[in-house]
Amino acid sequence: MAHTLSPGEIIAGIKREIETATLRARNGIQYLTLDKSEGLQPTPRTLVANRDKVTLWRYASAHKRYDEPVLVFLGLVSRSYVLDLLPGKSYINSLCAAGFDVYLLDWGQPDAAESENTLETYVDFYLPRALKIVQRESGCRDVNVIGYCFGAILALMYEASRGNTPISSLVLMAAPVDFRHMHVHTGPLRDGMLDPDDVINDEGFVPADVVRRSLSVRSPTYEIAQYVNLWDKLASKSESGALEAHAMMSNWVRDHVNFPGAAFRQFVTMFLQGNGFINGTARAGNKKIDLSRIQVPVLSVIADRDDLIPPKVSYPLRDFISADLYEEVVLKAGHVGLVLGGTAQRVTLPAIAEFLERNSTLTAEETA
Amino acid sequence: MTGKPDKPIWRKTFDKAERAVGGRLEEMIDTRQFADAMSMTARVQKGVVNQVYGTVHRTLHLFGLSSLKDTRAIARQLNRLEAQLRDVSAQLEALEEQPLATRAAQKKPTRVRAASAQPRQPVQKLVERTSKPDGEEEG
Repeated sequence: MAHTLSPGEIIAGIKREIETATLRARNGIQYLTLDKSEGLQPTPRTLVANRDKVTLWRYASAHKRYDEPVLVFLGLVSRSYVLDLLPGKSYINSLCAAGFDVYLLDWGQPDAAESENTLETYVDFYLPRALKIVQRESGCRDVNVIGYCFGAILALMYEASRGNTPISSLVLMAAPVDFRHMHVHTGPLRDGMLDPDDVINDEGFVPADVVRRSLSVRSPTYEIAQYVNLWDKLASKSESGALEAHAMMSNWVRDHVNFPGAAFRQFVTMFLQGNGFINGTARAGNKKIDLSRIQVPVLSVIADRDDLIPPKVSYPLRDFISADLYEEVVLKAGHVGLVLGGTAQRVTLPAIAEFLERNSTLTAEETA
Repeated sequence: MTGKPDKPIWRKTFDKAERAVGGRLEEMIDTRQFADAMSMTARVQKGVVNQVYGTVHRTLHLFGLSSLKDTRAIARQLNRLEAQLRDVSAQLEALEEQPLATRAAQKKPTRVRAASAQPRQPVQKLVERTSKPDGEEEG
């Protein structure tokens, strides 16, 4: 039997719609004026050092409990502000709250001047310098390192190519190790059907737009869904922060950086085609990269729904590192969910913090 | 008990439709055939752009003018040089950081000259050989 609306219900419904429309209009203006360029970055930070376009930031913990600082970095195509994107959901802030001083190594936004940067530029030049500066600034010889995605490749290349490093423990999030199990879209590059120079432009880098399209093509309805999400969030109350979160997140997902051509060619040859970590053919300059050389505690954080770095790509790391040093955490999350969102705050970060705490030294104040 | 508010009907309808269409598209896209098609497109696009820019490049050269390609080639050479300098700098630093004992062990041992070995010819002999036959100094 059809339900007939009473005049009171009709008036209440109209009133509700008018309120929602007003809220949408107000939120719409706020959305347009929001500076979405680099997230909200709520955690205070200090610029410690910079060289070329690479910057090293320090986030001091308000209640430092451990001597060893944490150095964290992403890969070469993502903007690192995702680690401090929103209040209450900041990866870096959570580590600071756990009692660690955090240093963020931001590779910057390369352009033609960085087109000839090789993987060695990052592994043998910038990263060692950053570690030295972190040691000096923190007054501590040992440094915990967190590498995410391509950042994990750089961390593995560094640690597995030399001994006696400052790294005292290593957290690798979505670490690509066995490239045979990468997504089918890497197939053309892997088997040579697509040459790296086919995507490298005349200025010598893979444009950010190409990187973005290659990632976003796998979710063809994402853009439309985001507009619908926006329409939905415009009706949310401003104190909920839902609109800001949506704005920052959707901006970051589209925000990529150019990939230096020389590094890209190396990555394709050494890893996608040569599967360098597994086959033992990877090199950092003239240094052989041997994962079994890693003699520090390692935590491998894997997302079971990661379609960019499927779990099978990360699992083989366990075969190279001694069982008493290797730990693994598999989380119900996607690739981005490891650093952003509820799962990161509820599951990922506590697991990482617990690992770091076990492998760090309490400060003198804490032990007193 | 508080929980997430129920989605409005329009939103549920959209989500259903989006998954129905998006899910199918994603299945088609997550295939090697699609990846190959994208690669072919990229190669063709690059080829066409190269042809166009190549024609412009050659035309400018015909009139003795340099093109954007020339400028970029020089910039890339400079970048390579800078990258090589960085490599050298990194290697020097690595060398400096080696413990002295290790460096000493890596030094080539000096050759022990046998008692019967011929002494090296002194430089003066070479000068004498190149001087004028009557012994006058050059210049």
